[in-house]
Amino acid sequence: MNVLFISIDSLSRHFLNCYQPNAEIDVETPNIDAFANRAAVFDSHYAGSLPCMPARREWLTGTQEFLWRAWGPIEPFDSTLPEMARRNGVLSQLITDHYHYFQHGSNGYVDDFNGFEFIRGQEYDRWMTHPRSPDANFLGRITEDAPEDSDDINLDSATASDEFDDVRYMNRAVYARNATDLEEESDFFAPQVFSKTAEWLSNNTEWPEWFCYVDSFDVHEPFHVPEPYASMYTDEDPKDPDLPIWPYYGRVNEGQSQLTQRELDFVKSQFAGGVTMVDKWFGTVVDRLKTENLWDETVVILTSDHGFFLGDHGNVGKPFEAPVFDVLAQTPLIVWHPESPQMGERISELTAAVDLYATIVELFDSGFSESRHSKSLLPLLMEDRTDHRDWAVYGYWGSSMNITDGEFTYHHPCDESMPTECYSTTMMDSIGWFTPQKPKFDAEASTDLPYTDCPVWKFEGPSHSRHDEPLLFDTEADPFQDENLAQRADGERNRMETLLADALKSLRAPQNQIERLGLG
Amino acid sequence: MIANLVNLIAIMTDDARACIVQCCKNNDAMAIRELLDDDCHDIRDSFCLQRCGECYDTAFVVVDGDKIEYDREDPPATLPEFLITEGAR
Repeated sequence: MNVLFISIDSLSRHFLNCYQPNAEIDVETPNIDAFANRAAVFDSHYAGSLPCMPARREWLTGTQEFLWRAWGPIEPFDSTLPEMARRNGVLSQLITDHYHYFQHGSNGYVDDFNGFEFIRGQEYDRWMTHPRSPDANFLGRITEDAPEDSDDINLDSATASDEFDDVRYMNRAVYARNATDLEEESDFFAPQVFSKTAEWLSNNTEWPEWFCYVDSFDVHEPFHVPEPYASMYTDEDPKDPDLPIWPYYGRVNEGQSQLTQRELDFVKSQFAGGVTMVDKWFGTVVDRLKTENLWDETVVILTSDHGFFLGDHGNVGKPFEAPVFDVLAQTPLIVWHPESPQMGERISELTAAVDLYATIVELFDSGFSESRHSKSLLPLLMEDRTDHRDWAVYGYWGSSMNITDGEFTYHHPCDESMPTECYSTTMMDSIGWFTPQKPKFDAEASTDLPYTDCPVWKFEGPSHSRHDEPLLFDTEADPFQDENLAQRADGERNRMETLLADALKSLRAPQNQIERLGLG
Repeated sequence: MIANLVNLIAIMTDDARACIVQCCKNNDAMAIRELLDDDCHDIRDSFCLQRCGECYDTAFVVVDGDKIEYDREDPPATLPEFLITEGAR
């Protein structure tokens, strides 16, 4: 069986018609809707380690890394999906515009694939260096005093670095250079990613079995979309230089992330436009599977790493100060399996992102079903089982801890005064993920990782709490998590806290985690 | 850019206004936390202010949305006076 794994980054599931309740914007996604109607829709699927690269280590290695380390590389003791594919004689291919794979802090994710295609230019991708001074239109896109007729990337000046030619890391003016040649819709990133995928499917029909991993950076910010999508969900002029497409993360009502209602509405409209654009090009891949007679011999997995706050709970982006609400953590998962009796059905069992690893390896090798922290979803797809998971834990390294039983979510604060231990064979920067590593002279050798005998470095990093008090939500009755029940429902809160303590114990989480959470 | 510069100059010269001052916990900004006048301004500690390149290289705070860099060797002399607690300079 072939496996086509597609991630659409930051795809908040309430922007999809196949999930309810829905966003206030009625977003057109006809191709994902049609795919969902034919496939199995997982109703209670949760992210694990957040954000981008931690999610990818969950998918590619079956590791809930956020209990032990932050955003970082593949470790020597990981067995990646493409490596498992090789061991089973399966060809593997990566098609992506997700530049984090090639940035400081995350090496090793690409190396095991038989082939990879990398579409350049997203966000801060260190790609185009000329012209030093972006042309007038592009310069206009990052300045408030843009000419009236400037083209359309409205990067507010407050969101750029001091100067367009500031060569330090992460200057947003880089995007103005990268995006210089984006003119037609087909030039944009998701269209390129999905076109390359369709092309690859056609060019590789001679291989008996393959694993193709498609990782689309869209609909991640910057929310730069061409027409007709830019105007599809707004009456504003998308070229209006006063309207942002790349907001800072944080509270919408203060500081550098502050947005007026008009600005926030515009950001939402561009996000929604991106979703519709991605949907269109996803549809071309589904069509190609059918025209190449691959549909009946390919498992198609469509998911996302996390959602994105668009004013939800007063936040924009994925700010470190916001609790990990379901807008971020409850992700879409839709699976087509040509031999599953569950096609066209909904699966209500609680599932977790980390489970996709064991699912895919089991598709390579029928003797495999569990590994490290991952449990295959195939029994749910093939046997109508109802005993998959009692809990899913999720969050960011060094932060508060979150758990769901599929009905309630519980969010446990941490003691910010206690550092969090980080375990890795590298001296990763536990906060400044995108900049060069610095030596950690206080690091100690440790053999404390419960899933390998390999010694690693152990060092401390700062904790950060997202909330001071516990939070509890009944997500069936209150899907947008507006009412914190933690003070009123002692019984449920105690039950969920006990469930969290038991879950951490079963995962053999570090004692330091137990202590900083006060669960000892 | 010019409008932003004007705004920044206004911030740096208007010592009467109360501001939202954002400090990045991963930056040296936390080292000057006690210098900042939290009677006058709202001081917010953030885990990350998404300015990783600048954070890696420079000490900074964000004042009402605008970044202000300072010399980590001599914060009292290089931070705008209106941000600092009286007598700390």
